[in-house]
Amino acid sequence: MAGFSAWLLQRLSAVYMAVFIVIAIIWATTTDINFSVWRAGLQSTWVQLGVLLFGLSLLLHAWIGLRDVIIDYIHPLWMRLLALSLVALFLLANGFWLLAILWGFL
Amino acid sequence: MNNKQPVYLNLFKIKLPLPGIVSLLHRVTGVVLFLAIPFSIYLLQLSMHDKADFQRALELINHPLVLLFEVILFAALIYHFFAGLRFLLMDIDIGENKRPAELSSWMVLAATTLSTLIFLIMRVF
Repeated sequence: MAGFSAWLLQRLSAVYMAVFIVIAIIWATTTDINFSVWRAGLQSTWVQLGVLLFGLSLLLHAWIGLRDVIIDYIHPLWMRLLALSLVALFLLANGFWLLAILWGFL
Repeated sequence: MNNKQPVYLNLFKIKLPLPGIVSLLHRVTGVVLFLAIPFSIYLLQLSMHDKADFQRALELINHPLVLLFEVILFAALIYHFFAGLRFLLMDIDIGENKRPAELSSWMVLAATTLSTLIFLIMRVF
């Protein structure tokens, strides 16, 4: 993923997450949250879809952002590759973890 | 020979203009938020599991030390949000010149401070 597609994806994911966060803050400040409200919300298909898309946006957004930072500040090739691999591994692990939770495996 | 020419970039000797600081902080907060991902997922997992774990998650986020991290993370999140919004507006040619860029930098810092104060007040009281 390079150049324009990364640039565009970074912005699309940013806009989606910004809207999601605003809605989440409004919901959290206007709702009396208890376990049943929380659980029922997270079991609804639309919320799950929204959270899943948030997770996907976050992974892509973090990958593009961290990649830019690493390429700008870490210059020796082997260190750069190591850092990029660790970030990719970290993000993939977190992505699968979130997926497993939403699917109810954990 | 002019021996005053810099042979390397000493980041501590470069005075960044305000928009440069805003950009740098956008990167720093981005990395901080990246590191916070597993803690957020853990909290989500705990809170969804059952009623007892939901209560444990509540106790956890109300623990004073955790609350301190929450305030820091909220500040990082809301800063990244406002500074990101500023960059998105610049992408569509709003506020690109020097003066507007400086003004919007101050606005990002002010909005972050205000939001964090509101968050702090709502979470503690």
